[in-house]
Amino acid sequence: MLNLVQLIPALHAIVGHDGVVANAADLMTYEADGCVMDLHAPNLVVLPRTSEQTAAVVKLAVAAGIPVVARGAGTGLSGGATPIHGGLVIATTRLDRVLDVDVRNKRVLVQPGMVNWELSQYLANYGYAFMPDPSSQKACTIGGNIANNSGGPHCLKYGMTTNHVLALRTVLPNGDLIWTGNGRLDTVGYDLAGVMTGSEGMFGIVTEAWLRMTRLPESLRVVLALFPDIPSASQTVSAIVAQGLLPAALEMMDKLAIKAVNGMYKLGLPEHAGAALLIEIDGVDEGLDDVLRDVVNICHQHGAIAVRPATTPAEQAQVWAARKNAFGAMGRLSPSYYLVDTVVPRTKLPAILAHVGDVARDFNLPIANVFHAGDGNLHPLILFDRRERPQLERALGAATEILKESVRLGGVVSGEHGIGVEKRDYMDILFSTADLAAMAGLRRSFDPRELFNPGKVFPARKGCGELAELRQNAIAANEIIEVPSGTWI
Amino acid sequence: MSDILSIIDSDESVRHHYTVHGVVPARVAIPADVHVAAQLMQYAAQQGWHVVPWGGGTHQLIGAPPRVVDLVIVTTQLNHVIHHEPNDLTIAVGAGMTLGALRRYLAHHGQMLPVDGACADTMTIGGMIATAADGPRRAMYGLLRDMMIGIEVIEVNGQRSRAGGMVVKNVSGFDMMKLYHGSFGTLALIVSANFKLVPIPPLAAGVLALFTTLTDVDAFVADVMASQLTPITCELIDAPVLASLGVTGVWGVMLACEGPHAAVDRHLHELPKRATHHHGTSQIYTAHEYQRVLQLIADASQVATVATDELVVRWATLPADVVPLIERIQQLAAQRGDAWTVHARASAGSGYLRIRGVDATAQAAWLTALPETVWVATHAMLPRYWHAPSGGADVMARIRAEFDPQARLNPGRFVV
Repeated sequence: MLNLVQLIPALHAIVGHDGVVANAADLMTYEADGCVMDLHAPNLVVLPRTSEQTAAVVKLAVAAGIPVVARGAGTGLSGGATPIHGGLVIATTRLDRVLDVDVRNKRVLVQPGMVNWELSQYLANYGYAFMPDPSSQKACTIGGNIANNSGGPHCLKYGMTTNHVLALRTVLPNGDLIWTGNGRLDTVGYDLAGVMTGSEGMFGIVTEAWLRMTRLPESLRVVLALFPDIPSASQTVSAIVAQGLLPAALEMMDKLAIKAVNGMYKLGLPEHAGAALLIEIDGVDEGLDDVLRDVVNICHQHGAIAVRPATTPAEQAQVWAARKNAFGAMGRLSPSYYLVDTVVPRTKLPAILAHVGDVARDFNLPIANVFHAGDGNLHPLILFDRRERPQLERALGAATEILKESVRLGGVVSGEHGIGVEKRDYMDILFSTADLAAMAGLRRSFDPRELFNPGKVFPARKGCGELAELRQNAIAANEIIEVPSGTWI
Repeated sequence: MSDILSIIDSDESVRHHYTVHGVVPARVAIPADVHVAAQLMQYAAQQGWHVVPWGGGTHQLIGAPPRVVDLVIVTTQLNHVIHHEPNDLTIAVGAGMTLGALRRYLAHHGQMLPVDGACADTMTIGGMIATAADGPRRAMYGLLRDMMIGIEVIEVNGQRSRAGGMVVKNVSGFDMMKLYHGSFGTLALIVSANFKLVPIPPLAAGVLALFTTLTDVDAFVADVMASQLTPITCELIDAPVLASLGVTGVWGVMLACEGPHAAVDRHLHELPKRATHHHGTSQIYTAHEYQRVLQLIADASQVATVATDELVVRWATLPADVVPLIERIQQLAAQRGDAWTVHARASAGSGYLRIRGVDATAQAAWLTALPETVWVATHAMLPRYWHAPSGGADVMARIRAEFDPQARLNPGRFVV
């Protein structure tokens, strides 16, 4: 891509010589994120330090017609940061500062390369937190959280990233640098911050964000409940939610996951247990013990074999560490795993988990489950050996089976990891042509040339441009899109 | 097509009933279901008609009068619960269902959609979404924006499209719910929406703290916001709103608490103590009286009935700037001699101002003096009704052009 080489002197002028990565070996670092199914190196990587530098870089790239892909820490699991058409990666690594803390208004101004965990550690000094807490929070960045509308265990009570974004400073695909607002909750016009959050880097590149700070709860209780099997634990989840106890987090691990974390964290959990539930409740101190008692009773009513409150902060931290690092602990069981992200209505948890068990048997691969049970957000971990091609193919087949069943049960194809490259060909299982065409129309409003993170979200075989054109022609002719769902894939 | 023609009503009294901000529509249609609504939208597109969606009509005075109205589509027949699985705590409802009807339905199941708003028995869910309506409980739960998990719309050409789903956590595709929320009927006709729900808590009660100075109000609100208490409302109300509750006072702050008994008791005990510390007095509302007072406060921001000499302003600022803004309003009103009443969702930084006895010139002056204005509702003909968006006006215009290239939906009413 000759144009890109020609850009290097101009990029040096914007971000300095140390802000441009052009060496082929160095570029390999950026050829994938946490999803290693599809790899493609960028032609160049640029590391801006300011919003203005980012806008100048984008202006150069789009003038040359070069794709632009934003990248935070590269922890994403759907290939959202993979430059599958090459081009220029803008890495936010050097945009990593807190710019302002406004305690009175409960808002914090950060750059997108700030690490999620570091932000919450920083805010803890003030008695606050940034509530979204993905399992990757010790590495993932705020910019990535915004791009993917990331979740985490505490989203059950506190909502996803979108509920914590107040205003975004963004470089649009035409190079314009805009603020969507100033942190006021109501703005004039369309809700640009709302639609940009979760747009997977296709609408703009966030360079600064006003985020909501949430007051740390006065008190919390954590309890670990062990069950003989998944159905009894799932029914406990339903009962807790239905009784209105509104935990801050409600997480489940199955037998395989218990085995993995037991070995790593010395929790001493009985390995004959079929499922473990981690339940956290928070709020003012008064009433929490009453809620805890109700939770414990519900666990016992549904056949819990042990209910262990984690009373000290150290015990609580240990239980949470086991949950948040469960994915890492899988290394004790298998050389590789494929982490599937899907959501079903909460009452369908027993059905989908039974199906996951069937899939494990049918595809002859062990599948562990570590997930956000309170949200119905499943994370089957398909254990396999990447070096064995047949195993890889079986793993992909197993994931497809699980996603199809999830949609059949009224679920969706991603709860918090995003679509990216990984799930783009599942989108038409869930949505009709018209649904996707409306999304394509929105994308085209921001990026008519499809230069920002091209090839993501929309099915590969019928991309955003084609969908948008289909829609625009239909609107111009006052007709509706008459393509039965699925027939054009 | 004859079915469509049969529901298009050109009767004069019907048309006048659905007058949009002073503009009498040429036609009115009340589709019986979504299928008919889609046919109607397509027929309107083929005729080149300018269309205004109408739910309960409680928010039609917001913004500018439409340039032309060829057809009003009334959604009140789309008023059914489409799907409700109580144990999932999710619901899909037709856009024409009123908030009040939905509340009553959910109460039978011990659940609630934890938002409120003015005119609950008239205002429809679709209208709440289109106008980004808010209510006292936004302090804890936000707006429908924060509770909406799925949506179905009919686009300008009659195309039905959906986004989201019936799950409480979902990043499958772009967040079209946020696009339509607050779009004032300029992008599509909203026909149904899905929400996450919460169970009705064991106990709910409110503390009304009364103060004589705004300085004390400011200190009290800052104190509560910085605490680890978890009130679900933080409504700052002035003497006229207090009077509507039957309370004599200068300034009041209504802090509601919902949850387990012990947690609510803690709030009912501690909030009055904090009010006393800031030179205030308190009274407590429980049970039906609490619900009644909360709805009265929600109704203070209604724009279904606006007097001919009245301007209603929805404003937004930062929480710390609420009291300074009210002081500025006080000064402006005193200089101009205008009668006013103000009401704030203090911890959210949002609120409403009503000014009486003001002609169009005076109203335009108020709009200029208040850059915090989100929208105005008035019968007056103003030179402009909106402040410019703080950023992204170009991309908003492109969104509008993409979804409604001929600007046939609510033409001229919104900022875009």
